[in-house]
Amino acid sequence: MALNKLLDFGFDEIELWRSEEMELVRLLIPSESAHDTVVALGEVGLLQFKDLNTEKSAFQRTYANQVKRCDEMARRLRFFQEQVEKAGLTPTVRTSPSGKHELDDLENRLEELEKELISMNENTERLDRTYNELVELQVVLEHAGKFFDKAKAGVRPDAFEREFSGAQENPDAPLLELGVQEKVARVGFVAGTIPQEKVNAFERLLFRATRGNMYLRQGSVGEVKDPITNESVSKHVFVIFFAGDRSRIKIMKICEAFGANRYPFPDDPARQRQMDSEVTARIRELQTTIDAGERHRKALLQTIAANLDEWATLVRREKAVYHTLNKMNVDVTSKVLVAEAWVPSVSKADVQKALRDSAETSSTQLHVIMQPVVTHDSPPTYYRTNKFTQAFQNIVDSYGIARYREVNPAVLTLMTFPFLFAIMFGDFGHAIIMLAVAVAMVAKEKTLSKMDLGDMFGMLFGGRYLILMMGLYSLYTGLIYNEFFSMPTYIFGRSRFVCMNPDGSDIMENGVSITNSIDPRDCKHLYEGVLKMPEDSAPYVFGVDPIWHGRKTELPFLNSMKMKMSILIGVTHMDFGILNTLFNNLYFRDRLSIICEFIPQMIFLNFLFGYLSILIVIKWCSGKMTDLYHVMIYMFLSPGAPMDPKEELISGQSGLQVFLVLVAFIAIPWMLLPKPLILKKRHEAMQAAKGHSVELTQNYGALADDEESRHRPHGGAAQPSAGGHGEGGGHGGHGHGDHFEFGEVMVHQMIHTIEFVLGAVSNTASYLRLWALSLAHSQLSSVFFDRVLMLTISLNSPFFMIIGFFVFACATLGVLMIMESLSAFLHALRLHWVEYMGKFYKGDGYRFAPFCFKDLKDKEEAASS
Amino acid sequence: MGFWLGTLVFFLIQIVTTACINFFGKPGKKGLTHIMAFTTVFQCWFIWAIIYMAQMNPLINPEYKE
Repeated sequence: MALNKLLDFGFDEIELWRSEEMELVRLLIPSESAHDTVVALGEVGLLQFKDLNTEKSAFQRTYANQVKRCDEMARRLRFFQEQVEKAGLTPTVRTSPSGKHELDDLENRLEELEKELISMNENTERLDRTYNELVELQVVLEHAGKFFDKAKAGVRPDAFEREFSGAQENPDAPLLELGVQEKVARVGFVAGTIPQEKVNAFERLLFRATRGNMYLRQGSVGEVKDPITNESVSKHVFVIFFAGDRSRIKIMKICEAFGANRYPFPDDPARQRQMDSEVTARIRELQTTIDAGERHRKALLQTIAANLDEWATLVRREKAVYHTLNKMNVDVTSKVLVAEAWVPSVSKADVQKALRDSAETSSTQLHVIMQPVVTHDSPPTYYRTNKFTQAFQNIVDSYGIARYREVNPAVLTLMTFPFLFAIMFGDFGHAIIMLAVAVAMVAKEKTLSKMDLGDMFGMLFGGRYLILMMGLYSLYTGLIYNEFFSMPTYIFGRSRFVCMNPDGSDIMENGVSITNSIDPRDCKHLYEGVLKMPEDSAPYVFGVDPIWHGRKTELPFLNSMKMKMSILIGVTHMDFGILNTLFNNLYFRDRLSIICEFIPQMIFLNFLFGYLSILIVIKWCSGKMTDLYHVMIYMFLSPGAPMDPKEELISGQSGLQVFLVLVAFIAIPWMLLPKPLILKKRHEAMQAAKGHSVELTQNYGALADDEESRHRPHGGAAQPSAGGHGEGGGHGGHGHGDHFEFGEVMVHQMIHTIEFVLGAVSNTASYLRLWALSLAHSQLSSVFFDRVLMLTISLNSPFFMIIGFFVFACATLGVLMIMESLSAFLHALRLHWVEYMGKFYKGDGYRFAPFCFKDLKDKEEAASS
Repeated sequence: MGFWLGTLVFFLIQIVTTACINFFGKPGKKGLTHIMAFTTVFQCWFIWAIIYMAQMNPLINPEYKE
């Protein structure tokens, strides 16, 4: 019993391995209860409605009017939202709608509110404007009065007379006939305010326009609200003195062009005072009016803010409901709406229950009828992910949504992605930092998920479990690489290398072997020995021997090891990728593809690079000095040439290599030719049998007698479409029998073959990035550690130590934790998308997007941003 | 010898993990959990084995810088 339970792996049904089985159902909904039914279905959120009116434009549909009304209401709500936000209020968010609103009532209410608000806004605006004008006027009166007096005192009438006469229009006019008083009267002035930044340009232009015949006095008055824009602007008060009507016109124009506000300014000081007091009184009056209006407006906005979220939710729902209703066919005579929808097979019962419940509450006589429909359209792809698997599924989905029921790469990606990342990010210390971040996010996920985190951090938070896994794996690979912030640790015991005489014998002192007790650092200069691993010794038990750190031969050793490691990992990873095509072909019953694609692909990859992997392992185990480059190159250049027995890793190696190369090359035409030819033959046979029911049995026979294969649109008859990516067979397995083009299939097969053969070489090489990045990571961290932290510590000054530690911490965080982890992430992503998923993943499906109230808000936000 | 011993350790870890999932895990579908356990143990063994084998017969020895 216990053994049975132990060996129960549940592999017959693995979550996420394939997308959920979907069914197309037809719903017959009585039109009087249509709205309520759709609301009930939206609550359940498990149906993806098919648009049955694709030929109709949005305006021709049955419920176009209602959708338009909802749009209008949404517009009003947005207007309210803006106003509420402007007023500094926050709309209260209610989790559940408190009461049931009728849409019509809400519409009327919103319309009234909008009118009220708009008229209020207009009023406030008008009052504000007047108010601001008065305030400016007051400022002008106050400031301009001062320098006006001063300026006026400075201008002597006779000075003006002289100047003025020079610029007179009529040179013939008698000078003396003009009275002094009259001339002075023609010295006009303009007072007003102008934004500070325009003052200089304003003055310059005035000067040029009047050719210097003007006098400008100005002074800063600080921040004043501009009457037109109602914004605080820092302004200057100016008074321009000028002579002549022409100048007046010019100056007016310039004032207008510069947006300077002019104000009437009485000449007489007594009138000035009078005006000032008038203005003050009016300002006070206005202030009370404005305050009253503002209070009223605020009260209104508060009531709006309290309900805004609820209304918005309601309108959003209603709009979605009418959109859905618009997708249905209306049968006018029988008063029934016909809908078609995709539903996950397992959820059918839930949907039926929801339908029954809604029928009971609406107490209609007619029930909704739900019946399955046989279709050849390919169903949507739907995975039930959880918070852990979501991020991994997203990685796969951003490459392409899986074809219906094809193998989901996310299942293996769950663990291979963090693993490949960790190969490139192997450092115990850095992993601890990464883990701390991930654990913090996971621990606080309930509070964090409710907050708006912004783009960057939101993305990080979304991938928290991914980061957690990456951290855990980095911890492991960090132990394996034996690096803690680039320093080796001695967790798994002392080094296996000991100090020996160069000839391999133990170093003796007083007739006793002291080899095992010598500190390796003293080996060379005290004993003139070399570090060697004794013949019978096992290697370091877990990970890289710590002695390698900082040695002259560290890099050659690590390079050789990590390069070989990359190839071993790469070949294994790609083999799993090809293996997935087998699972796909078995599931879709595509025996032809198994024989003509899976097998030759496996042979090609493994007879060349799988063989290389085996050679690597043999070389490691035997300790021979064979040059593997040489072996691989001459395997192609001179197959069958006898090998030096000292170099030979497998007995009879050269013969074996001839066989491997030969079979690998045979695998190429094997991939290329038989499949299109067999497909052609099948097609011809089908054509010949046309007219009989043979075609029917070929196409649908398997579907009819096998209940399960109803969900396998690519099964059996769909074989021709399984070969190439872009063939017409992508949508459903039907109909391709009629347009089979041999040329097209052949070209696809050719592309596929060339891609695979070249890919086998280039993809294997591509895995070398694992080596490169892991090397870069360890080198960078060791530079930061040795050159920054250790160097400053060796200076033995607390000040430098603090600086050194600070720089080290910044470099570790900025360069290693952020940049390096990002680049390792991207390279892991590429290895999965191109090298792994490229081997089997079609990714031409479409996502299951059920009609659901829950995520309406997110969808709307996503659409608007 | 050490290699096979290490492999045995990983194999035992795998058995213990499987047992834990089957006897103490939440009831329900366990396929994905088992796959994850398999891949994890396999990968951990794989990288350990690679590094271990690479050091079995060192062709270069660590040398001190001048």
